[in-house]
Amino acid sequence: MAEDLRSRTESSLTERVPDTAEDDLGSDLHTAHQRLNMGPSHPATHGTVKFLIELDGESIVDLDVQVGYLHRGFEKECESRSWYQAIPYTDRLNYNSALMANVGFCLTVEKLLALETPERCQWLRVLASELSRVGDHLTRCGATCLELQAMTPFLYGIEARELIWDLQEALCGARVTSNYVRIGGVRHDLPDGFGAVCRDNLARIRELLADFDSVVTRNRIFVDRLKGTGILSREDCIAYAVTGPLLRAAGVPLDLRKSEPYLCYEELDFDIPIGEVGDNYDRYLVCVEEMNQSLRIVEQCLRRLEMMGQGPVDSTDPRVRWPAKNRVFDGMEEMIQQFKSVTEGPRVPAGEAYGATESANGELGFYLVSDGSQKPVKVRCRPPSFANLQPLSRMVKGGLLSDLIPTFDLVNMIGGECDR
Amino acid sequence: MPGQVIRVKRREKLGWLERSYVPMLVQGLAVTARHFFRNLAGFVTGRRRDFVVQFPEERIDHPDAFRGMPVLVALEDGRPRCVACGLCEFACPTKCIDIVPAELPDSPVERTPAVFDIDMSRCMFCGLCEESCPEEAIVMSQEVEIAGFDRSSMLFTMEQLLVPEAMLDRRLRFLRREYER
Ligand code: SF4
Ligand code: SF4
Repeated sequence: MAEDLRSRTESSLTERVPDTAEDDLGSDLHTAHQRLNMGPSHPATHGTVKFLIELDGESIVDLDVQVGYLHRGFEKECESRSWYQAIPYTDRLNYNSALMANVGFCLTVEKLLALETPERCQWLRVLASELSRVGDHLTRCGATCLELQAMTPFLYGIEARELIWDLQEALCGARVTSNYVRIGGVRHDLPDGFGAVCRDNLARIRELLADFDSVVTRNRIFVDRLKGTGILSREDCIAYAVTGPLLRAAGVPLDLRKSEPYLCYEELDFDIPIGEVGDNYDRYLVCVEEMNQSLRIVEQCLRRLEMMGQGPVDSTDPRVRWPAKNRVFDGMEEMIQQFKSVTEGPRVPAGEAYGATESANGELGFYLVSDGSQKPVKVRCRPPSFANLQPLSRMVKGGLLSDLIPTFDLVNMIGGECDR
Repeated sequence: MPGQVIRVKRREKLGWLERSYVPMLVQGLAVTARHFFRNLAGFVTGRRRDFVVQFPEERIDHPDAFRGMPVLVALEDGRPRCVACGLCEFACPTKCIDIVPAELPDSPVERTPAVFDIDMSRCMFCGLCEESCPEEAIVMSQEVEIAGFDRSSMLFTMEQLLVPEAMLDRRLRFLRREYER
């Protein structure tokens, strides 16, 4: 059926399709399936994507997802620049958690270089990643409420995200396009007074999360809309390579932060929430619990960073990091080094590497191939949204058209990341 | 590794009272009313808690790390500190910087840019130019209000980009903190 639909994508907005239903009642009443194009820019979906839906009355008989509307050639863009110049482009994958894409890309390049980063840099990266994870989940849960016509909880979610973005701005210099992580380090250390502001904001975020919880989680309208809709079983999740909160909501406790710990996640104390049935209600609850866990991680990171005292945040490997500026101003050798590093960029040893990190949406992987030159030969990004969106038709088939909206929201497809 | 797998508690079983929508209605009203009165109190006492900024009258004070549009540092005599070495041109991922160097007689630095253009419609405020500059001559300012009516107005020339060093003090102090890594 999907094949059939795909061959006729250029149909008019609504079109009658000859009845294929075999039950007598249907043929008696001369009902016909209706085909509906939803998107690419539909007010009820956040994300630029088109659904080609075949409807029997109000229930979905078949659905075909068409992606690619936000394709910007991210991979090619990175391949035509030197390694360090690709980092700002990774900001533009997932606007909610740009920092995690930064981290994922740099970790993979470091894998190729076989480079160790200083401890303080690792803690800073974890702190930044977990902040953006909270921001991402807040958007996901807030937008779900918004599209179920609950404006107030959405505003609480966005207010909390604003507090997160304030912290990101103080840390990286930009709310969304962070460009914070560098190959072999981070751009700069924590700004002065960050700890106090961060704790303050975390307390306010917790308050807002409590308010959010109290108005929706046991609200009959919300529960009725989410419970039992968009179910994707554990087997299907695995078959479709679904990762992240969607997979955990189906009851599979897979989280790369635990199963293949990178950075300093091994030393952190946090739990992995999982769901039971894998419906939308489980997905919502898993996201809320992950936010609580991430807030815990942020606090632990802060404590560690304060205990550690000042220290280097960059690797000293001259292949990747630019020399410290005041030595560039005074020393001829460092000046030459600076010119070499900027004009050539790091020369990454020939080889290939795949690095996967647990981003807010799931496994964000980068597969990089180097031929030893200044530019990557291949930058392949494995976007979690793309894989998570594949089984959408399976999730909503047989359900009501209106159930597509919360399901799609909780899948949290981000156009920039999915289409690259 | 501390931490474990926890199963989220599904709180979907609603009692008959909850199924009647009434408790949620009351609770929702209570929460929103609390927010309303707290915001109102903040508004009256001047310690505002809401996020709305009355834009042209009010402006946000960005943190020190903030990256606005890149500008050129002007020395006291109004000349740029830039020596037209072209490193920022190299580092810029979008290739939006255009430099034409010229000779500067009677000066130890000997070089100066004759032309220094930044196409702000392509600049993505990434800050790599600032990071690469060996002379502390290009820095990210706090300026973001650069909208224009056509593309040609987004091409900023050297005259438009030069900002006296004293006005960039905050950014320079922030940057110098990192120089001794
Ligand atoms: S901020 Fe980035 S894009 Fe803009 S001029 Fe500097 S290097 Fe180029
Ligand atoms: S890197 Fe600095 S000194 Fe060199 S051309 Fe750019 S602004 Fe001028």
